[in-house]
Amino acid sequence: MSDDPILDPEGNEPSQLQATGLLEGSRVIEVGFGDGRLTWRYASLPRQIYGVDPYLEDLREAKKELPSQAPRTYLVCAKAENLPFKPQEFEVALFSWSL
Amino acid sequence: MHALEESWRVLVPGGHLIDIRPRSIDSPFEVIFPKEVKTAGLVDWSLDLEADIAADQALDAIIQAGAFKVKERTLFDFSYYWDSIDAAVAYVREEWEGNAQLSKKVIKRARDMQGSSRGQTRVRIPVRLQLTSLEKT
Repeated sequence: MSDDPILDPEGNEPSQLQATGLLEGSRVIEVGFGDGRLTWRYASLPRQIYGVDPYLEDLREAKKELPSQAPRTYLVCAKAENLPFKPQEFEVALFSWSL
Repeated sequence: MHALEESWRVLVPGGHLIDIRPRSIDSPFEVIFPKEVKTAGLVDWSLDLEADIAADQALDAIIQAGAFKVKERTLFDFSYYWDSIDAAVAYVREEWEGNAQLSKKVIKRARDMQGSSRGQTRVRIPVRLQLTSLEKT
């Protein structure tokens, strides 16, 4: 097992995401939520986040790490090809390393 | 239905799709000394080019279909840091297997660089990420 690296301590990824100006106050669906690594770094901006991932174990792990600054984040186990939402529910769809 | 078509369905008119992902651009394998950064060579990401092409084609298809238009595209660094060359090499081999390769020559050059230093060194690999934002039309 390799030593885990420190990832993006400069915060370039959340900075670039924030610089789009699209997240603040928005209802966001993050497709391919994974362990929530990126989500926790922008979670204070949107009005709501729905994190979608097909892997239940990843979602369970992510839920354990759910930080206090992400009170409006909801995790959903579903496939990206069949999202359990009505049409036109979100202002932003984020594919984070998942396309 | 493809994930991109499904995301179009759940977006409001004028909503945005944001795609963030690594590009298969060779990354420098850098040894960080207290007062300078030296590059030992490149991490070869060419094994991952097909994934890049497939994702690009999927995006191009929905743009061509008139579902989205590109608003912004930018590249930036996403860096990985390790406390040792051994840890970096092990990570590349185990976690990036099939995606990236590190040659023996680059590893040797990094070790030689480290061997000539007296202070603490770290290793950095800056991977190039691409952010694309698209507006639903």
